[in-house]
Amino acid sequence: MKNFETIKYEVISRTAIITINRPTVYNALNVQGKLDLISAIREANKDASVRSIVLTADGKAFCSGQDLNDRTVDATKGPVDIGHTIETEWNPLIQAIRNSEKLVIAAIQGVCAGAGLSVALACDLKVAAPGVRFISGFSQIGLAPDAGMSFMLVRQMGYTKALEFTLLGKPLFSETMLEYNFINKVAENPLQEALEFASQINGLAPLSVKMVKKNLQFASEKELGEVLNREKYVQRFLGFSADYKEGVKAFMEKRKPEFKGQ
Amino acid sequence: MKDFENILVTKNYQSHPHIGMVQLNRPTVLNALSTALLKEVLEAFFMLEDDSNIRVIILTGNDKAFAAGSDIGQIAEASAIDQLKDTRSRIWKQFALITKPVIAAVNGFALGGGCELAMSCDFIIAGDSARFGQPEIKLGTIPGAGGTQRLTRAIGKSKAMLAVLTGDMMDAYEAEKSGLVAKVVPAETLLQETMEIAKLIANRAPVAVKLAKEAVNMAFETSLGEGMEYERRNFYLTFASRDQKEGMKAFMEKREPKYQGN
Repeated sequence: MKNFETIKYEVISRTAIITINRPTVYNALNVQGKLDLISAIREANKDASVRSIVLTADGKAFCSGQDLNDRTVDATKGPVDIGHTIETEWNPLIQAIRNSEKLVIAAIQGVCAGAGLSVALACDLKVAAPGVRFISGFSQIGLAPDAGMSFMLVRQMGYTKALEFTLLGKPLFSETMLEYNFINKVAENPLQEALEFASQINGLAPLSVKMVKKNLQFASEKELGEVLNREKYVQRFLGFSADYKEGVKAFMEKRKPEFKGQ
Repeated sequence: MKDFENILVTKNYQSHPHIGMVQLNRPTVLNALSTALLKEVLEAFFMLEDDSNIRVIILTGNDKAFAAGSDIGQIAEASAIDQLKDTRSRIWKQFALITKPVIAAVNGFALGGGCELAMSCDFIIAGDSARFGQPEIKLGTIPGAGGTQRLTRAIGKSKAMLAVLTGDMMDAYEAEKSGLVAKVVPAETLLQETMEIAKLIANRAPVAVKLAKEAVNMAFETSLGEGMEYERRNFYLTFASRDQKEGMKAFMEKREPKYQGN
């Protein structure tokens, strides 16, 4: 299995567990951190034995976003092109999570700030420990939310609340995030709950999981007419799959289906 | 049927009597367009053109690439005179001799010559993973098989200039919005949905399909006045076919027409 500098990667019962491992800097992500995460998500997608991915972190923070010690973003030593950092590091990371054919389940503890919050929000299912502090933080250093945060916030909390949250810098806590439907669950042991979600998903038909994820993302961005068409194409596709046949057969025979991903 | 080395050719694709499939098959090099491959595509097109059972041709690649441009290794050290003597332009010109509809089904990269090949088909259906571009400018040259001409006619001057001068790619939805692509479908369903469209066309009167294709193509070759005249003459000509009589008769009798192709 691949070794990474800034993260840990292991596969346990068909779930790839990716652990951000830079606790001394509150799991801020330097260049390598982002590239490692992207490459780990790719690895999990390539590995046929893996059916879901859990993203978690060691230490006092889930992820505190951009590592401001990176030369590429440190404005105290000359002009920096953060757009380049976003284009080549953050956006590819967000796209890797959103486009991952296997669900990415976040287990969030401690603090989740800046682009670290964007990463958490980009995940498919989210479990947080009680009292996790979710912070935008961008406006406190003269920037604006990035890595997809504006998209996610405005869809979940609406323009007015999103503006207050991003501009004024006050944290939201797990319980409020649950009310806004940003997260699925608050749990004392978020990793354990995330693995529980994963084990349920691992029993589903992989093509179905992948297409449901893609369809829902599509639906949040497009019009009804386009969504109806897409659902038709996808259903025709799934209807031809071996797993659908197995699903119906198992239902008739009153047993658990055994899905093969075909 | 003849053995091809760089492509796979299937008559009666998916048991459909009227549909021929040509699949570019150099997966290790993202279907780079070697001269040998282009020759085979042309040969296969002529074979399907001459087969009176075939009514529609589909050209596709694989899920990673439709075709990612020329074999740069083949041409890196070429002189201008080498390029002038190259037989490829003759191959490209002959694609225009195919009178049956050719649908490009594009997943993954359609870059450089790959984009030009897709554009030389009658229309493009794209999977949502498709990416189009003319990256020649990044290698110190420019498109040489229609990239500046067909792209400009397809998407207009401003967008074509942006694409050709930067060499940057556009994604499937952008390509659809700008008119390069007729329709975007989920990548996984590309061949399935392209087949649905091919079947529709295969069910239309072949003589009318041929005359319609000719007339639309004439829009790019003449003035509006001459184009209108050309269209009118092809319109008259359809009335010389039995299929036109059958089509209108079936319409009045509220039944499905049965076209014979004459």
